[in-house]
Amino acid sequence: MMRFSTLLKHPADWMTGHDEENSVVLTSRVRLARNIANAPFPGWARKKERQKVRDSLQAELEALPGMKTGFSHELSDLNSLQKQVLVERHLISREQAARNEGSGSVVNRKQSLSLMINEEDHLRIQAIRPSLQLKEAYKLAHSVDQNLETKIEFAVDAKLGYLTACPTNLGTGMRASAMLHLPALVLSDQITQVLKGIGKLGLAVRGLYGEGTESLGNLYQISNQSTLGEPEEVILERLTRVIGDVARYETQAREKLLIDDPIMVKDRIGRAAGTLSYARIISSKEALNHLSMLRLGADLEIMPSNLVEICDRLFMETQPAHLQWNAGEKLEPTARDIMRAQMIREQLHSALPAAIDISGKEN
Amino acid sequence: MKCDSCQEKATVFYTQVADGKLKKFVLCETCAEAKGITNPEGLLMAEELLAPSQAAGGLSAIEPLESLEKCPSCGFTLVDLQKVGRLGCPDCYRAFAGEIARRLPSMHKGQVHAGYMPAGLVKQQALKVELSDLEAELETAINDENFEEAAKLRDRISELESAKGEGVAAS
Repeated sequence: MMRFSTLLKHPADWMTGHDEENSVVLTSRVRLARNIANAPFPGWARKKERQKVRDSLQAELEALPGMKTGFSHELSDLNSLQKQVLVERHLISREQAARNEGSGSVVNRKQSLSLMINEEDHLRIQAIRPSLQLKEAYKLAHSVDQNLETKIEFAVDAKLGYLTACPTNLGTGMRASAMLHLPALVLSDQITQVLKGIGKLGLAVRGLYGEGTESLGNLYQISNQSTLGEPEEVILERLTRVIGDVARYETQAREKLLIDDPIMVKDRIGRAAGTLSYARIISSKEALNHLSMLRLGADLEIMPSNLVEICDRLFMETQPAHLQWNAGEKLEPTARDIMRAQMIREQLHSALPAAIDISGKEN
Repeated sequence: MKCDSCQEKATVFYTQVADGKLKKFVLCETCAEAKGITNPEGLLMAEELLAPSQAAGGLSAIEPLESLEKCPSCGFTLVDLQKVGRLGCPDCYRAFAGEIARRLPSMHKGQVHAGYMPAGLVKQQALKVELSDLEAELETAINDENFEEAAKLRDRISELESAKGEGVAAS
């Protein structure tokens, strides 16, 4: 089994590599909620009962294909910083990070598959893929589900489908979501309208880290709300269509901004590049917002294209827990802001055009 | 305000509670009369105006559901459910079926699962259906005094029943 430090040395396979496909939709995630028949849900179970569920699940999960070289830990074995790193990587949820005994995390080496034991449900199977690939993510999660159901009796009802701790997940137990980068819709003041439209279609929009989090860095998560009454394929099809539409609106908004107001766009991107290249103290929020502009610049080919990958990596690595993990110690907020600025300067140094052109001739 | 049915000026405002949800319609006088809203049978119009999936999918149409005070399997109470909105164990869905049925329409597009089910369970369900069909046939055979057929059916039923028993034991 892989150690925590080894897990983090490897970037997730959905974080690296970039093509035109992911200029708006960064990642796709699908999670399936499953519970063991005849066992109380984690939130109501006694410690002993939770431990029993964990013991019965852990061995089965570690035996799954590709998990031998993976990562498997009880959450009580990890310190709060390590748990926070897993949250920032979307490998466990914020809710699960708050749990301890009897809660576990099993992740494959590529980090495309993350299994959460005793989160809100006994088991959550999560698959992450780069760009808009919800169906592929579902296929991956479904294959694990089908493998496990031959060994574990899941709680199901002929009418209600998979039974979950919260009735909002009933039926398919499936929550599918995509992470979108929508800077042009924000810059052109169209975002509120687009988000309202998504809400009307019965889909949910959230910030970077799920429920109740604000949108930072122009990053938005779109997911299904209804899990009962429709087959998985129908839910995935609708989401894929809507997310594809939103991605097209964003692309159109980018093109329009370049035609209508090129100086404003280039000014925002240039200021972001300037701040990130020269700042000595920078908060996580400020960094995310500037990195968002810089990534837009790279997507629009105003900035070198290899910045896309660097920005995506920095989106993750400048988060507080990642930063402290890399530093090897817990840091006070100001120390973090200094460390963050330094990390960004170093990473951008090789990628950004060397000198500042102050001739003023170019827009 | 325009009539929901024909775009004429609406003068009749109609409210109905269906599936625990408030439905409001506005209609013009002609349409209201055509749909029989002025007599008691007019209650049926909700079916007509609602999308077919909404009208047919209501849990109340499937079975009358009640809620117990406490789940016999895990001790979670109805009051707990009302407080936290979550359940204690899978059996709570049966114990608090009434309360759940009231909550589902505001959460989901439908109230009956239409997605993937584990292969074993689907087999069990099919077995149940086949058994109830055979039992109906057996009753007919006995009523018709067709005892040869009845004996065959009885054998088949006990065969299936032992298979079902094994299935349960194995799972």
